[in-house]
Amino acid sequence: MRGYQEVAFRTAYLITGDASEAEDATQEAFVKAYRALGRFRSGAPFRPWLLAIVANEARNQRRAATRRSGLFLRAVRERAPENSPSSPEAAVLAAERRDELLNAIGGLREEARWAIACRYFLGLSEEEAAAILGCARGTVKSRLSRALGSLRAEIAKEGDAR
Amino acid sequence: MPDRDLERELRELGSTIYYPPTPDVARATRSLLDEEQEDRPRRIQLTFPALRWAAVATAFVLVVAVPTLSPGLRATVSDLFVAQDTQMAGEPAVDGGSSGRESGENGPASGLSKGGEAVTSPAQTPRFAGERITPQEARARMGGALLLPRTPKLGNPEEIYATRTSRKDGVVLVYRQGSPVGDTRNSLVLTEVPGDIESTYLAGKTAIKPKLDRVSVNGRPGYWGSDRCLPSHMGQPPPDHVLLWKQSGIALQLEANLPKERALRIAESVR
Repeated sequence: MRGYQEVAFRTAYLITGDASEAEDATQEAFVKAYRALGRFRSGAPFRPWLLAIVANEARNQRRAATRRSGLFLRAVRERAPENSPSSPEAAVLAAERRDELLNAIGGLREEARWAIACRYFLGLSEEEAAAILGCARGTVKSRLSRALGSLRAEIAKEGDAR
Repeated sequence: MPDRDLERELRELGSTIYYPPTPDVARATRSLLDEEQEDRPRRIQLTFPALRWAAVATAFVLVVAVPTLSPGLRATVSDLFVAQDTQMAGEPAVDGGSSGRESGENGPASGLSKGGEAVTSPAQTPRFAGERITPQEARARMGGALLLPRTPKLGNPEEIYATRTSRKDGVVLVYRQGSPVGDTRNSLVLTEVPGDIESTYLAGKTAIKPKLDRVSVNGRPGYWGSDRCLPSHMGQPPPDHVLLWKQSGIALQLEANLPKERALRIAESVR
């Protein structure tokens, strides 16, 4: 389990938006996964199966806290990038660009936002994203494709508005 | 903008996400499962009714059927019981304060004296200032969910009381299973109030804080100390120790006569 705990905790954190709730959800999911090992199909990939349980527990935690979804956007704003541009002007421009992208993501439908979060923020495979989102792999692909299209349109709209 | 560039930008944006340090969830899960494993033999015994019936049947055969059919054995067993009775008569009867008894009405706890008379012990009366409420009312009070200890398997609290600390509504969960604390009939009391530890339990108690040890509950800061310096929900005498910590926006107080390590393990299982 140790090898999976980071991706599991981060997944739960993006869903709950709260560190202690994410920790609780991850632990509960690990316990449930351990108990359900007998039902796990041998030969099937373990990580997507585990992440699906984690995501489910995290959603339950979020529901219990009667919190709205989409909190991961707040988390994104909390930190500057590791490879910050060298000049102050470039840093300002990069920050503006991030805000622009973030606002555009905020304008997407929730399912599209989560498809983006799974693939690009958590770096999960399509299969893992599908397990978390509870849909088929093909659906993840089509949601991502639509999400990227909508993002481009949103960014263009914001660019025109300036 | 081509898809590839947009994807690169999204990955860069992903790298700016702040994630809190990953706690050692695997270790916490391991210890939780280990504890459950330790409890299992007892649970198996209680879970399989067939085993219990077999035990009852065996006892019946040994105690009633065999002695009835065999006069020799009857005499021997009879002697044994007489000896047992004599021995028992010398010991005082004890009120176990079991959870099966109707409790929590703040009424006096009763037991049997040596002579079989009913006696009342004021020390066994739990003292809770708040109004007794139902689990549904408690959940509604705490925004939909209660935090409960998962290990040891205490099940649901026997009683729940409403409490109000530093202008915040909270709940007091009372567990009676397990070893009672002191002369009270409570084994563990968990108080939950939305807010911080300081404002909820330590406000205006500047002299007390230095006496408390700083501890970590699943990586979250907490305090461990003598409960005698803090208001107790346990009744008299108060338990030796109290553990304070914050979790999911709730300030928690665990009161029990337990060693520090054991109390911390219970606190770490609270979800």
